[in-house]
Amino acid sequence: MPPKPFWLALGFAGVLACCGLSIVIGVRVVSGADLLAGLSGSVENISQAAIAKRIPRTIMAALGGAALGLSGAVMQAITRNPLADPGILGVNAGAAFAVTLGIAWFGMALSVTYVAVAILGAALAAAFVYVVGSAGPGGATPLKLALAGTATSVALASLMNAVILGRNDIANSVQYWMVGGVGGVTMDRVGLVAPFLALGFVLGAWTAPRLNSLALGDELAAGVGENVALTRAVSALGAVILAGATTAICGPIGFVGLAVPHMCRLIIGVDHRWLLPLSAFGGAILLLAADVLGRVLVRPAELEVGIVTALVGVPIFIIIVRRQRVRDL
Amino acid sequence: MTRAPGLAPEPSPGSALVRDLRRRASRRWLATLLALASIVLAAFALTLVLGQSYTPPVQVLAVLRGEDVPGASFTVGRLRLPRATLAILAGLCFGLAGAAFQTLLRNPLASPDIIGISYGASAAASVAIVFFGLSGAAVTAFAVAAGLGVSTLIYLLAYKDGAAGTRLILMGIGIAALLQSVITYTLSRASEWSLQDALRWLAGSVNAASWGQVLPLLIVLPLLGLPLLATSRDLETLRLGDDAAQATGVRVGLVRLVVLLTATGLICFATAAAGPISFVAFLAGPITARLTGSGRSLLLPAALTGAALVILADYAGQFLLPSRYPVGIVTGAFGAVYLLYLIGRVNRRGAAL
Amino acid sequence: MAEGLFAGYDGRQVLHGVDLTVETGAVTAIIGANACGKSTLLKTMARLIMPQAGRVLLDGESIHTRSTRSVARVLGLLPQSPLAPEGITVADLVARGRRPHQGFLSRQSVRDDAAVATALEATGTLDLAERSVDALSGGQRQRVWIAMALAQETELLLLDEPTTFLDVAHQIEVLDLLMDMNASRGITVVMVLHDLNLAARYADRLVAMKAGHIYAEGPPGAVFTAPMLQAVFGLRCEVIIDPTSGRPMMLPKGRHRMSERAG
Repeated sequence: MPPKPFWLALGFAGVLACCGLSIVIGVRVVSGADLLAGLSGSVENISQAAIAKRIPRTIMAALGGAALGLSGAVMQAITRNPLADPGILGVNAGAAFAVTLGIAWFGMALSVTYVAVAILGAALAAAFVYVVGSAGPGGATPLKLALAGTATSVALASLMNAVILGRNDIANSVQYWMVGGVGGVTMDRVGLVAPFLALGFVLGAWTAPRLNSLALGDELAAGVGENVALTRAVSALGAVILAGATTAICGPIGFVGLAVPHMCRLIIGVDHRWLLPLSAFGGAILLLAADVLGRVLVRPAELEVGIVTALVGVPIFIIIVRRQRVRDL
Repeated sequence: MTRAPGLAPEPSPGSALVRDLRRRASRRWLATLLALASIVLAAFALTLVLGQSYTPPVQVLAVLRGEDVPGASFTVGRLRLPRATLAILAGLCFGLAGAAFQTLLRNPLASPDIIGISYGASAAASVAIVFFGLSGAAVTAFAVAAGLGVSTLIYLLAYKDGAAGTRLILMGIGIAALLQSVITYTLSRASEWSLQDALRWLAGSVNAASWGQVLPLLIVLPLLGLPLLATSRDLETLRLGDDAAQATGVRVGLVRLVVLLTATGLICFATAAAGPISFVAFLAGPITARLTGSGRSLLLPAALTGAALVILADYAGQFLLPSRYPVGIVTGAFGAVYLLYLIGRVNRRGAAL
Repeated sequence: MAEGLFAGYDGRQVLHGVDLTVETGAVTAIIGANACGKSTLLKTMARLIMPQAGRVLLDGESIHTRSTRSVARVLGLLPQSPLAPEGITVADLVARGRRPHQGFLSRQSVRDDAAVATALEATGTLDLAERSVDALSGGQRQRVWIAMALAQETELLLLDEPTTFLDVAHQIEVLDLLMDMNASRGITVVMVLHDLNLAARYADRLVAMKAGHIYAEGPPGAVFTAPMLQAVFGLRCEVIIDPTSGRPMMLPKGRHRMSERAG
């Protein structure tokens, strides 16, 4: 087994390689000269313009994927739940609902407020799901949490339907956003979301060593001197900021946060100081690869990255559930 | 081993107490059943008499007898009657099947609309509407077939050393997430006109109901509903756990199979006819449990609760709210409120869900 | 009653050929280390698990070929952790035990009421009849579950660790109750017990299991010995005669706090 830094370096190299692929491969096949010209900022012909458009989308996919991967790993750690994921816990639905409300009722445009509203919606939904899911005997079992998240998502979806039904002016754009994609992302939007993501990553880094104690159980963690409530609150805040900000720009993208940490755990083990960064790299790789795949699969059209990750993620979810012994669920 | 003598039945004060308790519970169950039935009937009558315009009961009765009444024959006979009938039938199916799933899986959150049973029908219908431009009976047929297919897939995936309820729920949630993204993808590719059409269908609606939609439900409901009701007592015993139920003589595997088959069928047909009217299957059981008290089967009263929910929500969506909403939006909002109530209740007494 | 029984779950074999005859009218306790197959044996005898080989005979007839209902009229089982539906009352729960005696559509009869009442009285839970099972203490709840098994009016009662999670006073209470049933109604009792001294004190016959086999079987006086306990549990101990019951009891020997005499 190679040492842990090796895997981390490999992960980083993987991210860079996927970024390269994401710029080179697209619906339009671009020549080498145009590629270089496009990268240096020239937009003289369509090919060069296509390259220029691929740059922000690549950055967004890398950042968003890293955010979702990290967020999923943190959520799985604080809920001690193998099925925790921004999609399943209803965080995506919360962000989506808040954004839809903002657009429909307050004519909210793309701005810092927009991202903040999405994060607020995500946080409220996450808190709600956690309270419902941990009610009753046995606390927050994976089963109850998943059910509470799904029920909340269904409820939010039907409220959202109520808002957009009969609003032809916004229905299409909301539906398009709901698929989850990085297709139309511009540099402005990346700039909008970057500060939030930076804050989320910092909180994630602060949290990593503390999550190791938390994994022992609340009582034992307190016993080794951890402030359990604080650690949990700060980590949850970081995870929600990451997931909410990503959802605000890209729309709800499921299963990255679920699948990536599981694979990374197989590779690098359960030490969160290594697991969190690797999950971030893994998330970026998955999202970049899914985006590239979506451009190639149905040429000349594109498949949004949210669809591709669902197609990849659901089989992984099924495998996790089938491998898990029933009484552990 | 030889037989030892059983307990000798002797009349005792205890026996009288037990009998009184049992009778009281039965009376409460029966009273709830009658109350629910009268609510459904009253709502049915209201829907027929008072819509956009008022139709005197005499005329409504005349139409029901098949007489030709100018004006009323159209509004009542062609518009209101099929709509109200569809609402009641779909509500019965959702309520009955929802309570059956919740009881079988021993979790009030595990209703078929949450664990993906109705998603197959929804995804197929949205594809049929948006990509194939289908409508009416074709959408229905497509939805029923896909709904049954997807449910079978969920059961097969969950099956491993016997299908454990927990795994079934989680598989359903996973498949539901996949189908949900199929639905969103379909909607994102929809033209403006078919988008509204598909959205309305996905929300669940009995608008523009026709006898063509009512007829399949009228056939399926007794065909699947009666076998399901026949298991009600075994299903109640199953709540004690598989081992305890089997120890009291319940054929656990058989009962589970019958319940899954019939309830899935009911959900698929009802979804195909009226769309996945959100949260009716989810809400009917828990509401009914509060009404009937302990120890009696929920299935029959839950079916009536479902019918009452759908027909009342449809009426509210048409006439009582500021703008017109399909029934599924109204029940969906109600479901969100119910989830909030659950939280409040849990915080108050730390009860189980 | 059990013949050459091989059984297990998940494709894993737990019982490797168990032969056991349960003595009618006696109290039998099954003891053994964790995961030795005690519960599996009990569940196979109660028809909850299909044996991979071998038979379970009840009145000379294999129970796995009889209908679930007809077995349930003769043989009752209290599983280790049964579930009480939320909000169910004690009387309703106990009445569930009458299920095998009721027809497809027949309602609860006067005969059923009497059986429920007798079971409630016998377990001292008649006063609780109207209460919700959720609101009961652990000991009360266990008595209610036993009442349900009694209402089933079987001549044979199998119990999987009926005293787990109970404090010592409630453990004694539950075991005394089972002895009463055995003495007054002649009910044959077979139970898995964790507490060795309670098993030795209450059981007429002890069955010691080890790794899917029966290691020893017989009256406690003959079976409950230091060599047996050493072999089954891998524990050094001393067996003395309990002055309160005249039955054998064991005192474990650890590595510390041993007096000179015991060393």
